[in-house]
Amino acid sequence: MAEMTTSQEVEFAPELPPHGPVVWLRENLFQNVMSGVMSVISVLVVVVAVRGLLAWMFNPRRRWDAVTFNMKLMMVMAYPADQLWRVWLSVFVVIALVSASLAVWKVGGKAEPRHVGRTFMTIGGTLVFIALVSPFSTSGKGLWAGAGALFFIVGWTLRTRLGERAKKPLIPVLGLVTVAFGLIVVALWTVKVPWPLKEGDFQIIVFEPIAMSTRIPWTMLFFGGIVAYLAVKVFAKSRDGRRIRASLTGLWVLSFPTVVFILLRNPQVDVNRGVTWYLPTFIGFSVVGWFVLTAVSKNAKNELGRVIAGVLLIAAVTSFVFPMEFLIRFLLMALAAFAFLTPTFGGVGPNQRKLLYAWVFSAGTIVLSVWLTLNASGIDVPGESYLGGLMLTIVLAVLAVVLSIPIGILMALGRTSTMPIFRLLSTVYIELVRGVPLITWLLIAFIMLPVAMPDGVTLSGVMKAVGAMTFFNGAYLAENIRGGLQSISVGQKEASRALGMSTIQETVFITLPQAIRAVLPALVGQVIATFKDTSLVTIVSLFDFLHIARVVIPSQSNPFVFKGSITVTLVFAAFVYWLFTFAFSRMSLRIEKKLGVGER
Amino acid sequence: MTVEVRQHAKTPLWRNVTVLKWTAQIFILMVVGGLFLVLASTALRNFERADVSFGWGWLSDPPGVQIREGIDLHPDSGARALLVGIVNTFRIAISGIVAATILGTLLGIGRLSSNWIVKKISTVYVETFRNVPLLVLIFFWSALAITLPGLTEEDVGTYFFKASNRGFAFAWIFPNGGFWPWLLIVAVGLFAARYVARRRRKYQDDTGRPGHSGRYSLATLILFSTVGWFAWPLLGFMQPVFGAIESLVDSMPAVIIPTVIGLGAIAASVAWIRNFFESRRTPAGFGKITDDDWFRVIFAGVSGIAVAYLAFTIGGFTLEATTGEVLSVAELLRTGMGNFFGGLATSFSTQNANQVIEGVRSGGPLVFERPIVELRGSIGVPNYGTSGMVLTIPFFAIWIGVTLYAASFIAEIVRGGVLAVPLGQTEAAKAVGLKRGQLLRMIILPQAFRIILPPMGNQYLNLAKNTSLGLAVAYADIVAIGTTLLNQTGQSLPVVVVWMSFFITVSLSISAIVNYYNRKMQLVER
Repeated sequence: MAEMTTSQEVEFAPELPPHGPVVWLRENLFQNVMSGVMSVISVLVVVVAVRGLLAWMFNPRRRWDAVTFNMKLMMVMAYPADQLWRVWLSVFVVIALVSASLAVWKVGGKAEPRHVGRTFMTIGGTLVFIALVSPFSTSGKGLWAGAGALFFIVGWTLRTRLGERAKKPLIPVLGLVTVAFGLIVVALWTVKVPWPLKEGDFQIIVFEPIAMSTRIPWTMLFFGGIVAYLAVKVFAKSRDGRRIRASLTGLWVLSFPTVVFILLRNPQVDVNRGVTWYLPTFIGFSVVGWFVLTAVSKNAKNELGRVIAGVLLIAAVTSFVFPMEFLIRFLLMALAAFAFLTPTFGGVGPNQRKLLYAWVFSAGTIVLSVWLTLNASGIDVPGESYLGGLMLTIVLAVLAVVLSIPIGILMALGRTSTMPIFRLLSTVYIELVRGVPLITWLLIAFIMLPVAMPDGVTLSGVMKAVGAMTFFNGAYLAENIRGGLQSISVGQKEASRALGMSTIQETVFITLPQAIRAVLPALVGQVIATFKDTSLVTIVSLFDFLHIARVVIPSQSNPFVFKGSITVTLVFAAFVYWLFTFAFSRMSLRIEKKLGVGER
Repeated sequence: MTVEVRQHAKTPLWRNVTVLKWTAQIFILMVVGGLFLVLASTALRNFERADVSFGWGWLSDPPGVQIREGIDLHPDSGARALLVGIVNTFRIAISGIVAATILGTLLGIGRLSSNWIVKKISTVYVETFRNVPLLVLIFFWSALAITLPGLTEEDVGTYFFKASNRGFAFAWIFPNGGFWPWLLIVAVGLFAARYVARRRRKYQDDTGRPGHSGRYSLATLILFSTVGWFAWPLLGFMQPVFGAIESLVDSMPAVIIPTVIGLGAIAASVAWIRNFFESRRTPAGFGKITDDDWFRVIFAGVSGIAVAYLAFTIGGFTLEATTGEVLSVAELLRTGMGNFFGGLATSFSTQNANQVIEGVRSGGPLVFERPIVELRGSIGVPNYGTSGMVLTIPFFAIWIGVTLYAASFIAEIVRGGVLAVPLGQTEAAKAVGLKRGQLLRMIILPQAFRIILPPMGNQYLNLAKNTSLGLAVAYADIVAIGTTLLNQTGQSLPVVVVWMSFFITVSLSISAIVNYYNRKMQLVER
């Protein structure tokens, strides 16, 4: 009996579920009558939409040369051509830092060939579909279909021919990305796009490779990025990972002011004033601060430390009443803040030393940035700002995000605080700001801010826009972070109390890190929203990316007239915005997965 | 054995947590207040230097505003122009909210569909539109719509739908004479339908036979609406009633309005404070009252007095009307209330019969109107006539922009809400034999709705605020009209105050409504 059962079991071993294209169609498109009808309608809609879109895009009346011819305008506006190396250097700094971070944080990993094959097949299928429904000529269709078939075959091979190996992670993701970027660089040299030329009174369109003047810098950037990645990888192999990560974070922090205030702006530094005023101020404050902070940390547990910190704070506040250099007020404020935070972060031994170094570093940064900002820009750009185009859009977004983070954190802490006046103030701020649209805040900033400034202080348009956007973004960040703060269980607070932590220590070391980690996806969402919101500055006539696409190019008359090309430039602008935000949202998904938010 | 009892010294002032906390708070309050004062005084000084003085006279002065669409194209006062802007803002916001909700819900359900292609289309839509700035969308649609063909003399005629670079015109339903009395009858019908439904349900519970409560209540509502459609002139007796109220309001002294508001505010704050202390009272006397509680009490008292003070101060402000008459705000309010009742009286008048225009307009309390294209002006430029619904290009651009944009976010909210309903609910519903439609209607959607509601409210608020981008395509909303008034009169501060109070009121009202529903819908857990 037993043997028979066994043989029967073998005989009735589970069959593979039915598969194949027909089964797939029945299960995914034609489950029932309703679904079938919807599928047919949807296919028709897709075909009509794709065909219409392609017909619109490849219509010879669309002036795509408005985009290609004005690419420099859209990217950097009126930045002088002989200074463009500064922009390229800035881009290189960012690319090198990204590559180095990829190497240090070991991003990427390996993908399974079947997944890669599937992606390839999807791309190939889409290309073939486009070729089928497109209104192109036969040769055009053949080109698209051929490219699609190539992708499809590569994907198919990866998926089926590798057998069991297809399920092992074999393909490095970063390698794939590098190949993709390499293909883009090759395309810069080979793919031809329309380019307007003037022949006598006539304007003709010739086809030239994309990026006539920029292909060499882009190629160099591409290889520079690879070199940076490999170099950092080799360098980081034998060294302490924590230290390298810390210094890389520091470089990221420093890169932004370096790029914006030194590289792109080329401040005309007054060396004499630097030696006679800024250097002595820096040295004086470093030394005085060193002794004061040492005294405070020695007396952190008794009254003297508090008294010193309190006196410093009062001095800093009263400094705003008396006429005085702004720099000294800033430094006094910073010193008071350090004195108050000393009992939390300082102590004895290495901690105390770290605090003192941090003080010298901060004082230096403050002095240097004030000094550099007050000097005139060495880049002579017609108009108000040396920033324009996509460059301005990115700088606006980064500045608004970075500056609003401290506001957001403080206001979130205020709103969840037990102290009623703090709670009232931050609630009023948050609700007031969130209740009124950003465009109204921008208008208010442009109307009211210049009037509210003391004599002699003039704000540029970019500064006003950054002020309004920071103010606005801070409230939204605060609400996001508050969500995180409220998700922290009381047990965490009780545990830190039991360990004898002060309120500040508990907030900084226990509550905030967990809260921010919990709402990181929402914060990235806010970054995306800020990036999209930068487009509003076109309404107050800053020359950002959208303003150039919407106003500048369609009103050009020399050397070419691009009147009526506004839909084309707007579609291109939409595509560029989409690229950035889509990349960000994918990044947010990865972070979410990596942190496992929502799974705990 | 002696036990040594160490006397703890009283905590010194600089170690007392309460003292420290309040010192810090008052300190920060002073810093913030000081900063604010410094900025404000600088601004005022600069304004004085530029010889700008602020007032509210521009609200009653005739504005030189060209308004392209709205309830009044030639407003006789600044306030009226702002009102046109507010109505325009609401028009976009409400129609956008309705359209975005429908589209977004369809897309959200589409993303969860088992149909592969529907799922893909919804995903592509969402990923495309939520990653593009709204302003780009608005400009794009605006740029696309003005490439439509213009109106020519051949186009003169009556249409159901007509698109041109002058805008989109289509047939629409409008309220007519007798609309308000009819609406009143329909409202009564709603209550009657509810009553009937309750009776039928009771009948079903009592007898066990099917009560058909839905059908009966629907029939009641239809009956009331149909009868009311023809019988509304019977309500003509309301006209003298409202007329009497109007004359009563007009004859009362204006000071009553701020008095009522101020006394109401003080009474409300006193009542709140009393309730607060009552709720803290325990059998053993007052419970522990923390700093926070004292702060609340003080805040409630101060705000009651502040509202009363403001009511009297603002009520006493005088404005110079166009006629040269000097009126206080309280008197203006009284006139407004009087006009409201006067308008009600007119709308109940039976003299106000329907106007039916052959081929264009038909109907009773509601009329169906078709748009016409006619030659207008002395030189006969072809343009849309005044009948039917005409959407200008700016309206269309901003409406479709906010709708497409908000729909992509609403789709994600709906998807998240449906996914958040535990799978067990679906399984349990299937186990008790519910059909797919019933499962969606009775199990999934009510539970998903509770999750969807708060983010949806937020999205509506965003949409309402995003309509202010109408400024970019010269749509005459409150921000655009405010900007024009500001440029003409130079009254920047008052215009900013008007903007802020409008948007704060709208956003606080929307969040109040959402919070109310949220509390009602919230699961009550033990």
